[in-house]
Amino acid sequence: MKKLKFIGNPLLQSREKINMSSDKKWLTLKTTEDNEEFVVEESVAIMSNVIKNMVEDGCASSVIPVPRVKGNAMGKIIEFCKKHTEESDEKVLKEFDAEFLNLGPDALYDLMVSANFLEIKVLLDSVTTKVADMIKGKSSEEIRNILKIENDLSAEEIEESRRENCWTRQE
Amino acid sequence: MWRNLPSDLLANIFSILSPDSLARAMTVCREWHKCAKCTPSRLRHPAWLLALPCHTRSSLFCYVHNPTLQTWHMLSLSFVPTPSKAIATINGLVLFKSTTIALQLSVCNPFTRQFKYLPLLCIARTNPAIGVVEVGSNHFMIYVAGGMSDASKAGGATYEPTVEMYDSQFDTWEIIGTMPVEIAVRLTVWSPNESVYSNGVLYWITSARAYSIMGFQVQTNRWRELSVPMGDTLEFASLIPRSGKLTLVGGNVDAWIWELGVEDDWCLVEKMGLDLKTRFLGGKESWGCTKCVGVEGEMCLYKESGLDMLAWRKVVGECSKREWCWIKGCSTIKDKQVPKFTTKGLLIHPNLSSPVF
Repeated sequence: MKKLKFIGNPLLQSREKINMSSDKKWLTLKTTEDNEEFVVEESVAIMSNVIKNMVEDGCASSVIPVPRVKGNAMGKIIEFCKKHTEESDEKVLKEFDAEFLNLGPDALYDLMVSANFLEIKVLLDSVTTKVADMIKGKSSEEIRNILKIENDLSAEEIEESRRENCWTRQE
Repeated sequence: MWRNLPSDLLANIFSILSPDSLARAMTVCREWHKCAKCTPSRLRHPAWLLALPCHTRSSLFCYVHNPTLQTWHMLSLSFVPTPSKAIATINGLVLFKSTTIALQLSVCNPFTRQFKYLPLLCIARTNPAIGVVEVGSNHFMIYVAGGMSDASKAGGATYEPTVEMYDSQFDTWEIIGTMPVEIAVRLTVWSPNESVYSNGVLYWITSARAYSIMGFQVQTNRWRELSVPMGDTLEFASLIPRSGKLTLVGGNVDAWIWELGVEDDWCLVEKMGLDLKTRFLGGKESWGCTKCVGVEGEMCLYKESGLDMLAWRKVVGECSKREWCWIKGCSTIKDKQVPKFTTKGLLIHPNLSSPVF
């Protein structure tokens, strides 16, 4: 269970812009790396186990600082969590996920690492499956191109692996 | 970025990949190579079929079928000393026996080319029944029962009425009990096929008619015999493991699949369609040297390596449904003609990390 440190004073400027009904609880999440703030419904935010634990510990009225997650990743995560809290149709969610995960390797990386840090299992599983789909059936060279990985194996090591794994190739 | 993904997240991705995709991912970079070696294989993917030549050649090899891509590949087994005969698969390993002087068992991982002799048995014997029990992904036991042992007393070789057990965790054999001599005799004379472990009992079936089954209850050291439906007239019969139930596959006029019920009665599960049978037999009437191999989740009927094989597999995504599908016979590999042979078939889940070694 990861515990995030938090500061005491709530910053409520953005809340004025949102129509707040009395029966919905709202939280402000602030990415400490780039100081972006996101106001989200508590029901959406608690898809993250980490935030859920904090809320249960009684920090719901403060700004929750979120380290290690960049602003644009946070925005995407909130978009994902919002859709998954609103929608219950499996088919619709599947289509949404497919479209949502149509991202470049860098964005996917940020999403995966952030989803892991915030403990959002549904999102982590989706990204994991997406990455596995991207690399399955591809040669190691193609995988390196797709994910922008530099090759640090020596020529001999590669040749040895290729010889051992000739049962994997079709050419 | 992706090169430095935390290893637990990378392992999650790797656990989804099929064995051949994982093998390719291993050569992407050093970190990935390290992680893939440690990723335990999970049984999410269909088993791969190994087709080994029945008759030992100068150097062992086999054909291996990739079920996702439906392609055949050649796999050299030159690191396995000859003469050796493949008996069974244990998780991602192949169990071999060699009978040069005394019976010696060995295991190998055909994909990583690792090989290891098991220690010699407590009591040297020939032609015993050999049974395998998979306890966990890295832990297995082997039971050896019956066989003929060297004469220590006057009168020649005798039937050996003892059961020995090998535990992979300790890499040792231990005599765990005795058995009635008549059962030792029958098991030795039967030359039983590979065992099937189901509900605490190791089962062996005779290799020819009249078919009959012997069961060894591992915890209590008790033996029992089971009859086989149409045991006198079946042309082929084989046992396979299936969802915790002992399952029998056999055929004469038709082919059937039965499962063992609570009262030791056989209940029909499936009857093979006539069109499937006709195609499998290539228009012939008799099953001839049809053989059958099965692991949890999959069964395969085969004859010779060049002929089409028939698999009965779990439907992806549905626990209890199965479907019939064809595996094209292996006559070419990468567009080159390859020799055909009478086959010993084994089903295996390729495992690129082999902690047994």
